[in-house]
Amino acid sequence: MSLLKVENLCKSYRESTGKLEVLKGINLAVESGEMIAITGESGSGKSTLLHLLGMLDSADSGEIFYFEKLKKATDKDINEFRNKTIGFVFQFHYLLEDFTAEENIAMPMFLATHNFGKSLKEARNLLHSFDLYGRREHYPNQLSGGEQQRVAVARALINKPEIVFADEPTGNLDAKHSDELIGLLVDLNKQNNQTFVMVTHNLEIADKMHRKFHLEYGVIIK
Amino acid sequence: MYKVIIYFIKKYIFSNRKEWLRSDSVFMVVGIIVSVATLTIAQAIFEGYETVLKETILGANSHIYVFLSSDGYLNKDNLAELDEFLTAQPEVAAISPIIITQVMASGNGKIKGALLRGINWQQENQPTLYREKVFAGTYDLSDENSTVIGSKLAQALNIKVGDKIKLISPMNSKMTPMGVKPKQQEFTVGGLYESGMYDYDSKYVFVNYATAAEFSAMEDEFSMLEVKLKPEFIEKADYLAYRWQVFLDYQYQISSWIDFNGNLFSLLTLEKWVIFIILSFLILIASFNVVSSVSTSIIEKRQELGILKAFGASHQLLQKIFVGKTLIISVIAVSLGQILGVLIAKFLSWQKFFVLKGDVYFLDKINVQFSVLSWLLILGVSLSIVILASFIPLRKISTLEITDILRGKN
Repeated sequence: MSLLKVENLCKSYRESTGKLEVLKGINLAVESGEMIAITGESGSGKSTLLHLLGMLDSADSGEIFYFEKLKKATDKDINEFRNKTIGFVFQFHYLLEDFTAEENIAMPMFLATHNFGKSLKEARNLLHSFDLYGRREHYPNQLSGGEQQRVAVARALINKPEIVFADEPTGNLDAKHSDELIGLLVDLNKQNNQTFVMVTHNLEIADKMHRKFHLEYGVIIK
Repeated sequence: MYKVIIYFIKKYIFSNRKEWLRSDSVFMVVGIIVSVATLTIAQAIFEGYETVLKETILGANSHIYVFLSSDGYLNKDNLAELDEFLTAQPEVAAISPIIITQVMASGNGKIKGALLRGINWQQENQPTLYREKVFAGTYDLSDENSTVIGSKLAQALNIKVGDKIKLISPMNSKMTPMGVKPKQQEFTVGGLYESGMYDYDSKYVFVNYATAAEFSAMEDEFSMLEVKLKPEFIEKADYLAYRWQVFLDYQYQISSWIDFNGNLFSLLTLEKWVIFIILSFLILIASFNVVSSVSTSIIEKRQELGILKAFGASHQLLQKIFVGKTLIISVIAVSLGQILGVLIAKFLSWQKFFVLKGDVYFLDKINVQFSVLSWLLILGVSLSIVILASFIPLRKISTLEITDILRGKN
């Protein structure tokens, strides 16, 4: 049973110049424990596909299944689904400025359990394993770019999601921090069998994944 | 869910970015404080004026007045009948007949119109409180040439205790070879009273029965009978007056303080509520700042809100956080407004350089009073307006598209 299956997914946007078709019938499947890369040029529809898979947006047509169960971004329980089943890492860290590193990491669990103590404890465990414990009380603007992105990864993992979607997670990092972050994700996959779907235009990073899909003009060409 | 809401509110209010020091937040809080303070001051002044005016009127006057229905005055038989009837009524606290006649008062070359009140000054329990209002001299009318006058009359005639005052009554005039000569008598001012009511303090001249009878040419007759009610029956005075009038077979015309002053108090109550409604519009105007401030806050936190939504926060939860934050800031602002209003109102009642014109407003001092009901009403109305205003920009949260934020679209 595939963790995630996509059938004939289409998405278009209305623009002043007319209808822009971004995704034209995407089909793919992701198995549990896989690391998948989605590559492509800018504007090829990589991020749009990731947003649809992460239930952040709704498709014009086509279907998305999680564990063979049909899911739509308009479902009533979609907030809970996004909170518990999916984790997100974005190109920009998007950490909450008024919250410390540990509070940022604890946030998804706090939203799910309403238990701040338990969430904070779990966040501190993650900070230990990400070698960031000493920075736990630092605000985002007091962290380096690499640290900010590691905190963002920890935040994505705190609710032990089935799948983590990463949208150009190294896009704002230099080569050193980029390598460190990808190494961290690979380690997490090996140690915890964590499933990742990552959008990147960096082919070197894509090569480190188990499988890769290349998007061109809204279709998967390989 | 409330733990999450409280946690976020605390974080946003005490954030390092000092959001509450932003100009729109400051304008919002100052707007609420000023409008609530204005409303509090207006309510305190109106309530104080109404209460003091009522206390003064009820203290200076009796509560029920009994006249003869037909022309003429109450004689001894009438008084005996009324005394027997009224002393048997459980609502009555005191009764006393009185002689009233118009006179002219002159002193130091000045002259003023006045009302002579002939009273039983020795009676222990009097229907009016003038004896307690004497602030200079004594309330001793044993001498037929002794009088007690109001402070404003004394001021107008430039008279002090011990000075002479001449009273002239046209009611007991005599024909002389020189023409009609009104009754005149010189009195020694034995005491000065101040009821607080300009009208009374500038008009009433108290003398004993014998002097008043001579001045008004009334022998064994009285103008009316004054009745003081027990405090718990004061508000029922008009009903009691009607009931007694019917019981006494309309032989007497019985009127209450409500008949004479009811319209004034109805007008004051109406004015108080009209002012309350008008000044509530100030809070409505201040609430525009609330709309602006909450909108700015949502726009500023747009990215954060989008990310929280991506991590599973419902827009209802996010809306409750903003309403909760506005509620807490509003409670603080409204409370500060009420405190400021109380302080300014207290100052107005304490200061001496701005006084009312007593001949226009009855009282010459600004009096203030604060009631729990008014406090709750101002708090309730202010918070309701402000919270309702904060709902207007919340729609922005429900229409927030996460993908637009991630794409950097506005």
